[in-house]
Amino acid sequence: MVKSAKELYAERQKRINDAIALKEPDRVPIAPLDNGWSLKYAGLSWIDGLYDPEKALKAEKKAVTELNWDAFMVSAAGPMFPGKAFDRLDLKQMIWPGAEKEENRVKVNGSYQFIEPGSRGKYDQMPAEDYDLFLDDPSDYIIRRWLPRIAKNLEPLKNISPLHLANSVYGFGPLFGNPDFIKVLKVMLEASEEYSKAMAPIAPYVMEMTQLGFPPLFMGMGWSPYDYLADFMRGTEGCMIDMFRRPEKLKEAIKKVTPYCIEWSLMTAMPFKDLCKVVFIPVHKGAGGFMSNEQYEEFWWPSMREVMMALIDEGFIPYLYSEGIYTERLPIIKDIPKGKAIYHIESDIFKAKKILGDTVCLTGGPTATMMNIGTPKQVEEYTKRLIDEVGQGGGFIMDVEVPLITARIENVEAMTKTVMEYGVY
Amino acid sequence: MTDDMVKSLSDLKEEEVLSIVKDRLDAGGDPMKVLDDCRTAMGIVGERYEKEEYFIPHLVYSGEILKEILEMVKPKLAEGEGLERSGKVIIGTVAGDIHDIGKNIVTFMLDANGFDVRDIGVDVPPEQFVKEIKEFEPEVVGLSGFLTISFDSMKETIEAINKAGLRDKVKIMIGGGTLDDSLVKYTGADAFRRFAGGAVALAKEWIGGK
Repeated sequence: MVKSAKELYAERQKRINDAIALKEPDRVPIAPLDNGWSLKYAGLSWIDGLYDPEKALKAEKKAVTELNWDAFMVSAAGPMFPGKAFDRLDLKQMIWPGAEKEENRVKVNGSYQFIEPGSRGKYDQMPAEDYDLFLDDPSDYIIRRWLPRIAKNLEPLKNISPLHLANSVYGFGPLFGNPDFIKVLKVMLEASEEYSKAMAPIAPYVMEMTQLGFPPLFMGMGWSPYDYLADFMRGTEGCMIDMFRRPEKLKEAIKKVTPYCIEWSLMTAMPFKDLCKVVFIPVHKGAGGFMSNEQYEEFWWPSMREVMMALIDEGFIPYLYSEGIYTERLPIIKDIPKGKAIYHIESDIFKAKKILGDTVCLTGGPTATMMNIGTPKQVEEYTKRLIDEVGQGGGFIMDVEVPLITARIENVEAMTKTVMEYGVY
Repeated sequence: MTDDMVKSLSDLKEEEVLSIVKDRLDAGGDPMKVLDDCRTAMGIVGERYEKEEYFIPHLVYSGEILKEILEMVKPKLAEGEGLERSGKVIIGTVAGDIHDIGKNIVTFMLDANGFDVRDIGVDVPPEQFVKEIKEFEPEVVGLSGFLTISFDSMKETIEAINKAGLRDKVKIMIGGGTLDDSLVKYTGADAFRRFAGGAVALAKEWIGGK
């Protein structure tokens, strides 16, 4: 008997929920992080995805439905990264394929990339001297000092009067009467229109996919408070140096942004609460080597845990997506309620199973080189090993070591087939 | 006094070491001796990194302190004076990729070990590698990458080096977070090393007692 989409939806959702709850599902669920791979699968390019997000969603639908994965995601190569809006802003924080200006373009028609603050002369990092300004009034800092740095066409924001003076018509004059304000509003209007056009297909897409029988893996998104500063403002090296030169300022700033990271996660996750509980948190600057365990416990982990606990308290499941080597952190990040979180572990996932297997659901999979230059046979064998060892007793969702992006199609198919056949409990 | 400087720099005591250097230079001390001590101290920093007592933040911070010391020393040096270096290495992140943390660590470690390193940056197209190799004439070329797209860029870069007739003049090492040994054959490189220490040992092996 052919199962209805509704039945399939329930089956897939249960499979994932069981894995999260550390129970043994009927089969190992599979939901690889795609990051633009479906564009390749559909014969499209990154420019297609960033400049016509509907194409990215169609490509993703094609991949997920044809490969019969257990969950879908809203493409990271599409609606949330609208090339046209970036062009209107003349964004300096990233480079991406197809950008109008050559200086904003990646040389290869592949993934966009973030520019490290202060590097390549694209935009200045937040200087250490700015900590007090930021701490005193983060919103004003972001509006009048930060946005002008990361987007060329928002530079006139430097010259507008602070919004906290606009508490009456007496403050309106200096604000509204400023020609720079008009300039910047025009840019914002154009960018906003492009953003809303790009994001408009998301809701219908989510609806369509659920009706086809596929639940979303995650909907909301969160951030680590340390990474809020290290990824985007002070920069990786800036925060590293702050740990030595001004540890108290760094801690104060982390404390300041922790509620913002919670606010952000809840803001993005709440609208979908009935549909999906998982909140995706990609984490970067606490990886192995990026600091000592002592620094990790002093600067990185406590605020991250606070964000995760706030989400768990609201009934959400934080999905900590770590990259790089995380082996030495495993005992530290074990300090989280059982069955209430998902951790992506790149290296070493087998060891992670031993240490974290009774605490959190793990995701991970075949290595980057295996997926990109290996053979389907190699992928099949490694996938079996993952199922045997990491999938043992449940608590595992098959993913890949690093997002698929450029992976060979036949290798993704081999991984999928192996899970479907060999992954049955 | 010498030992104090080496110790305070390798222990990352910024204020302490800067004041020692200032006192020494003010007292007419030999600036070359200061540079020598810097090298000894940075060697210790590198060793501690290898032993996982230090991590990337410690390397970055020691580099910051070193910069300040060099600023103080520079005006005291005679024209052309500086540390002797042996063995030339060109290093860069390949086309399509702008990740540079790994590359910077390897550069730092090679530099601390006395190599003459030319870091040619990120998102470097194959033809630029070729041009820089012709100009700088290194014994070793390091290709860095993090994104999976870098796998093919490395292959193309090595093909370009081949085509330019430079392949037998250089040894090529590759490295990066998502790489492993299987990429050596795929890209046509000579070797892969996962960590910076391995890259330094390999460069020493290749360049030998020069």
